[in-house]
Amino acid sequence: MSVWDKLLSLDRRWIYLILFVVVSYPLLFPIGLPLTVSRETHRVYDYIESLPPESVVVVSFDYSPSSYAEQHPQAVAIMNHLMRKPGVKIICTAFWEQGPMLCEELLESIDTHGKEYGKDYVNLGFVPGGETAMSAFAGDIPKTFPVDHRKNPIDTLPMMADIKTANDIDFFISIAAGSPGVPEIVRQIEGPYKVPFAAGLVAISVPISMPYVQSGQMVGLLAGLRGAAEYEQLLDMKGTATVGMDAISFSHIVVLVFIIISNVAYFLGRHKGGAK
Amino acid sequence: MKKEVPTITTFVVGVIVILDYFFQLGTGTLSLEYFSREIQNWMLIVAAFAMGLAAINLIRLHVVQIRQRKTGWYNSVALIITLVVMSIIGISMGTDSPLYRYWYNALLVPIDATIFSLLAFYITSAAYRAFRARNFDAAVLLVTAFIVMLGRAPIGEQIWSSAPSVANWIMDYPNMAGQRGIIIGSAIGAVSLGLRILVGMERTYLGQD
Amino acid sequence: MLGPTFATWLGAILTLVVFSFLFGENPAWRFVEHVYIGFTAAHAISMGWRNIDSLAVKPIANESRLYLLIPCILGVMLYSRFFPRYSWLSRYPMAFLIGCGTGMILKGVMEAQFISQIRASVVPIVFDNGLMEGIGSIVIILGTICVLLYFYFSDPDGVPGLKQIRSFGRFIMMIAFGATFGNAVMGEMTLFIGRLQFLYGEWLNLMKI
Repeated sequence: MSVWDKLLSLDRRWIYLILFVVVSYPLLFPIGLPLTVSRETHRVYDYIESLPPESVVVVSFDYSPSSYAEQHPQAVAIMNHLMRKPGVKIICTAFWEQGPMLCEELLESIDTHGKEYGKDYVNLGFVPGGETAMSAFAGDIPKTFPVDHRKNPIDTLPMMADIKTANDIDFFISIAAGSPGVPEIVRQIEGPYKVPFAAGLVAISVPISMPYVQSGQMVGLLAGLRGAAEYEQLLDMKGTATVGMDAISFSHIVVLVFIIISNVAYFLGRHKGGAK
Repeated sequence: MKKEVPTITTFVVGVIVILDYFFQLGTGTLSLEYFSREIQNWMLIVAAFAMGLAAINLIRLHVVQIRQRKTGWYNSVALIITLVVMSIIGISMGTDSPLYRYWYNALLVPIDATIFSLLAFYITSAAYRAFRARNFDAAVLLVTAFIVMLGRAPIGEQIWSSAPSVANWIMDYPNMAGQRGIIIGSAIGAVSLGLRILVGMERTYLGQD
Repeated sequence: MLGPTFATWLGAILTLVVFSFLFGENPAWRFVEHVYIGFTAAHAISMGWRNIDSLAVKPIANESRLYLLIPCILGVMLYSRFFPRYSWLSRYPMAFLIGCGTGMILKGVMEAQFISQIRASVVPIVFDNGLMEGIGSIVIILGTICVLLYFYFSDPDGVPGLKQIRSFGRFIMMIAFGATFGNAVMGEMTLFIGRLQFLYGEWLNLMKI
């Protein structure tokens, strides 16, 4: 067996160990590499920053613990920003069944800057049905959510008195991990009601969502953990996303080095008649 | 009639929902909008019932495992106990109750998050073993992925100062063109399939006779 | 240094058990996997019941909206699929779900994913903002058209120019897939980093978050 063959048939457990060690290092010994904020993240920040008091913002928690590491920091950053905005009303909802649990966890830990539940923010909970649920929500919010996640009847929540349909919403943000997600919201909420829409997405969904940003159907988007870190930077807050970016850098370098080594071994092995 | 009536139901329900988008017919409770809204609300209730289907199927499968003492049957006992206990807590006390939330955060969140974190190892191993520039297409894919990975990581900018701007150009232009072609193509496909379903040419969702 | 609560310890143990799957199947992983599946199903039941209660049971009981019994009956009919003799009954709620869902997609897809996307593809080709922006505009128009032509036309008769158009479309798609892979790596690594942050930070207190 040539040296190239040996390299190409490296036991995967060595690959796992190298990845584990390399990614652990910057978490335990942070470096603090600088980060430039992308245009898409800036657009979301600028839009929220420009919201006048009495604006109504919907934040839809459309993710589950499987993408918690990527998306919870996005939700935390955006909710922190919204909570800082005086007079802005926040409606939390979910079209994924795990969403309300993650929302409650966030609401428990966040600084609400004096906002009160029921008067300034509310967690309406989850409604099944995917795209149909979104359409039903947009057409008649009280009928779709007769009670909130904490079992309060919606007509007992002061902030919901004048909010009946998507026409009463000024900005819709979805922290979306998949389906139902961006295309469904564009079809049922942004398109028919022309509600400005932005999303926090898992990194793998970013390429397929870029056409919606370019067409103007989305104001902007947060791309994975990097998007959350950029948003934290704009808010001048150091959260889990910023802490994790050094590890992202190292992990990418590991993958790139592995790709280079395997391709070099492959081509040199083929050239020398060793590897196939 | 066992397939004809459901097919007609699909058509009628679908057409009401579509027509409501384009026309305003009738007023009050005799309007197209009212019927469309009611259909959507009914769908939410039916969808809520559908959420229990997976659980019933799981119980059926795992009760058989336990009865027949198949290999690992005790795991099936654990599954059913967890399912039943957490369902009782969730239904009786609510998913917003402290007890439910405690076990949700202690059990479900770590397991769910860790299962998907295994993908990091698999993608690294796959990149090493299979991501080879064997032909032109693979080389294009490889080079693009390389640049995007470099551009997305803060260290990429330290290694190559143009990495972020090149990665952004790739995302904003060629990637976007490719993804847009896929979006438009799938939209045409969705319309085609949707029309076939509505007119009854596609009835696989009704199952076998 | 090691002073976390029971939930944190449980989360850490579960995390390590799931990581053990990287080295092969083992009884501990199997057990945890079954607990996870059971809990996920229990959560679906709990959430489903919440919605049945708020959307159907309470309106029927408190507001006498008896017509909501119809979607409830449809929902119960879904469960007839577990009884082979009566499984044909589940076609009715399926027809309702499929009809509504199809109508939803058809009414929204033309504007959202067809007209808007095509409109956005026709961009002015200007070089005022730089050479790369101008080239990018050309790539958007040509790339979108060529990708669509790649999907919809094969080339059995060797039409002049179609082969080159399809090749360019394929080239653009490879770039899009490469960009997707690059982003996928970042996404998967993030999930792993999240678990490490939990282990090192919350459990072992080795890092400050």
